[in-house]
Amino acid sequence: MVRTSDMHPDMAKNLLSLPLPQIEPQAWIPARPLSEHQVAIVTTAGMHPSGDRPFNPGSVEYRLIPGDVDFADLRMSHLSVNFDRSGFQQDINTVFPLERLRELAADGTIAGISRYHYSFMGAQPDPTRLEKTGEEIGRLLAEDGVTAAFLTPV
Amino acid sequence: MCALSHYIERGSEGRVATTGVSLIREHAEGMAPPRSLFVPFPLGRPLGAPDQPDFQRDVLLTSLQLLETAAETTLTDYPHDAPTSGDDPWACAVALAPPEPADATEALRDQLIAEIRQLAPWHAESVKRRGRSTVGVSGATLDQVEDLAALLADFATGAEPVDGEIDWNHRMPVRLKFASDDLRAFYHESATAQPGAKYPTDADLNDWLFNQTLLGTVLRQIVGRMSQSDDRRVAGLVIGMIPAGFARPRS
Repeated sequence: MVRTSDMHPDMAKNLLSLPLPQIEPQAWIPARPLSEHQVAIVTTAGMHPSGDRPFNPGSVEYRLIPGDVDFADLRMSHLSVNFDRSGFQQDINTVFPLERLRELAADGTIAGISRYHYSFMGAQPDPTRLEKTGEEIGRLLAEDGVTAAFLTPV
Repeated sequence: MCALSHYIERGSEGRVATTGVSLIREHAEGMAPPRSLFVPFPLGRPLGAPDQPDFQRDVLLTSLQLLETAAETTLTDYPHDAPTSGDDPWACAVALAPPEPADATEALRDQLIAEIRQLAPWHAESVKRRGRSTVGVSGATLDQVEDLAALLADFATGAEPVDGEIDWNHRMPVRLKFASDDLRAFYHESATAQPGAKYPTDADLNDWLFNQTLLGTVLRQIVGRMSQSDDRRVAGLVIGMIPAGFARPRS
């Protein structure tokens, strides 16, 4: 069990002091069967293909991860030391579960997988700075026929 | 992460529904993303644990199922802890006997490089089994890890770091942070090269690296030097070098 109450006090204090801005929710998107969904992964692990520019701390940019990416080509340039990297180092699915998503597509649990996935830098001092790029990838995903995004932190 | 859920749904004009996992329940409670699964796992392991495909798939599926069940903003709790290989402590198969770190730059370089050479066959095994390495975020290639060690030894002993052959992705002093991350990746990948009945938690690996390797001692020396620096950019890196709880050697 890992909750903030189990963490090192310095880390818990830091995490619980972060601002949590209130964002006006959108109209509810009605439920639909999972088997109809085209799914993309959006991660804030600061991952990117090795040829892409590494993230700078607090960057609000995003990087594109092609659906057929070779795991050997993925890097993580997240600066924070407060999270474990060894899980990612051993098995990228620990952070970016693309192989698990492929299995769910192969057995028909979901309809399919996006051509592209997206990566942001985590540990944002002000999450509202992600508004512009967040809305942009919402638009890009929709234009690509994606109906659901699985968001995973690090 | 929670903010992105709102922005993605807004930008898609209702065409892309979001779900996800949350590692900090208080953040999900406060920012109320439309659908979220709180998972009681260590930070950095949102799907639970490496090389546990059935467990990972269940976490993913439990979160995705919110897309077909949630009728309003929903935060739910995943009912299982991350899998472990039992209560017996994990022990690294690579038995290093780290020496007292040398004071002289060249000698410390040699000591670190000797440790890396002890790990090198295990790292080669890791690359063979996994088909990849995550080393490289600093700009170093896999055959340049000894140059990373040289940079760290230089800084730890107060010598002027030499640029060397690496096509660095960052300038000094941020370069130190990514050089250290790449070396830690090399050590972690080496220590976990062989699959076994016992596998380490993130805390096991930190304990090994920071208490049973020369690299761990050198990283603490570097942090000590950084914290005394008059350069605010250098001093500001201190919090990004060593995980909370490992700043001092285990007594």
